[in-house]
Amino acid sequence: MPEVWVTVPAGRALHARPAAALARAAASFRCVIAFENRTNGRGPVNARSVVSLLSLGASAGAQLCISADGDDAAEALTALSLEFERLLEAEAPA
Amino acid sequence: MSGVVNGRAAAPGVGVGALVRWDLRDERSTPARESGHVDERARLAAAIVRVERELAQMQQRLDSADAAAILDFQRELLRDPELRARIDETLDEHGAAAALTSAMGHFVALLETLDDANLRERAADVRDLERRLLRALSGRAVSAAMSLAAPSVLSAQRFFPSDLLEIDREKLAGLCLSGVGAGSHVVLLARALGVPVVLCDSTALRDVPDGARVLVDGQRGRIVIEPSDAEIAASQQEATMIVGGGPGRGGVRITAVVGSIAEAQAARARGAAGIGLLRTEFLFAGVQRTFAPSVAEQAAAYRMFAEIFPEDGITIRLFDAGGDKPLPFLPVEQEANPALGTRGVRLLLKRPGLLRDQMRAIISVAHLRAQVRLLVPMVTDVGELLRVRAVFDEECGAIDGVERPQFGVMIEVPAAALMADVLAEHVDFFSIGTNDLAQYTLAVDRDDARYAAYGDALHPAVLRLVEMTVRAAHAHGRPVSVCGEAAGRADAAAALMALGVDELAVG
Repeated sequence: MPEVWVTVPAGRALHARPAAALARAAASFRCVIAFENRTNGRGPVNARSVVSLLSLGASAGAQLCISADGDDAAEALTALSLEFERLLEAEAPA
Repeated sequence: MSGVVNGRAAAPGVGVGALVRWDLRDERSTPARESGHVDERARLAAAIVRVERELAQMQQRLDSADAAAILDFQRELLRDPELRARIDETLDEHGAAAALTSAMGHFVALLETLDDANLRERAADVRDLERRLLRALSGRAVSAAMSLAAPSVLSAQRFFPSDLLEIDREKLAGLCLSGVGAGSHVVLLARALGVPVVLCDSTALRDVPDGARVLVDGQRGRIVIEPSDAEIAASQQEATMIVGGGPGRGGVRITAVVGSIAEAQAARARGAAGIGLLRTEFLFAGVQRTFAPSVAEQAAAYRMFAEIFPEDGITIRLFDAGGDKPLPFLPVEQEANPALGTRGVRLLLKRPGLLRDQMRAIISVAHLRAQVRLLVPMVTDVGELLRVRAVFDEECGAIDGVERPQFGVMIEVPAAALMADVLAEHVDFFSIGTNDLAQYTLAVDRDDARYAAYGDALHPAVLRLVEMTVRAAHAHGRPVSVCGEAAGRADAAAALMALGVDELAVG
């Protein structure tokens, strides 16, 4: 199954605002998308579920694995990894 | 009965109203199993549509970015597929209300296990949505639940953002809350909406009868039972006076604590006699920064503040960051006790390049404008002070003929106050941070609602340390300013002035 890794930058965390935006982005694809926090072992969780994304407890430095299974998997992974970076950069530091 | 209950100021303002015990309102209708599973699905679907509409309408009506963010999250929750799936699991067997409660409960429990306090706070938002959905399911009109007969002060242990958003705010004089922290969403919202809030212990108003007239003083952090007209007038006047700033009494300067250009301009308009504390960590925290701002960038920013107060002094504090308030370019490893760990000057001394750059930027501004002061955060002992002073002296010496800024340290740790006479030999001024000083002296977490009254800067132990610091400073001819909640309170300000403080920086 194709996957891509992203890291939560220093001073940031996957809080409600980025989680909500990621869930909305994931919903626009057909494939099944999952997020897993490889740093604390939480997940994999359904990327379309905002509360599940929050439950990953992804804080500064956490390495997340995004995996996708389906027709548009490659497209989804590219879009979501870019969106992830954009959203977290835009977050104010905690 | 009359009397005063002390708590902690959480949202400013003064309000008078009849005491209403919010938690005892008859709110919850018992989730009952209805007949026929088809009805249950339809009921749930209708409730979800209705709540989505309510949230959308509220978002449109409100002007606050904080309110919008909280509502946005709740709207996203409504669409969450995992939540729906979990509700579906027990919907047919137990009915809509019970299925909803159990599903929401599962996610609340999950969020409460997280380390991150911000994420845990979201559990309260999930609960809030649950209550809203349950209300929609029971078919009760929202407005009926939220109307108040007369101007009221609500006392509550559980109070949610949507309560605040829906309640008849014309009649809401103030809130007395227990069970929430000063940083919680409901408090932030209250501040944004101009509702006074005092945090107190859950038993604090135990003996006060329902309907008694009470005054909520969000300025001083207290509740007055059956206040006289004179007391009401005095409280309201104090609130305006402190927020208004203006000339000090008896030679005391009143300056401003700021973290943005907008705040500095507002302070100027109010008549503040300069910037008593510029929180530089706020200036470079709002944008994506994994590397520190350059000397040029910092100098340009500090110059803008100096230009807002061309005839007065500005005091620029070096980056005050740490485990509990990290900056992206000043990261700190996880610590068991961030308040007792790598923060303030300790962190700066680990990043000498960054420290020098910031000093250079501040020195360059001092060269162009008079009365720029440089302030070092969280100094604990003279060894630390001498190390940072050495860097400062080198940086000043490196540029020929430069107008040197004054060099001062924050006194916010008991050790520094107790050794103020030794520290005073090596500085030009002191600035006492009463918030942190009270926290460390009284061994109380500032944000813990249970000990709200403990952390008071008027505690005699704290005042003795202030007095010690002022005496040591004045013996060496150095001035002392005070920043912190205390500086903005009329009663505390009076005490501080009596102790000989030269400047109050009000934030």
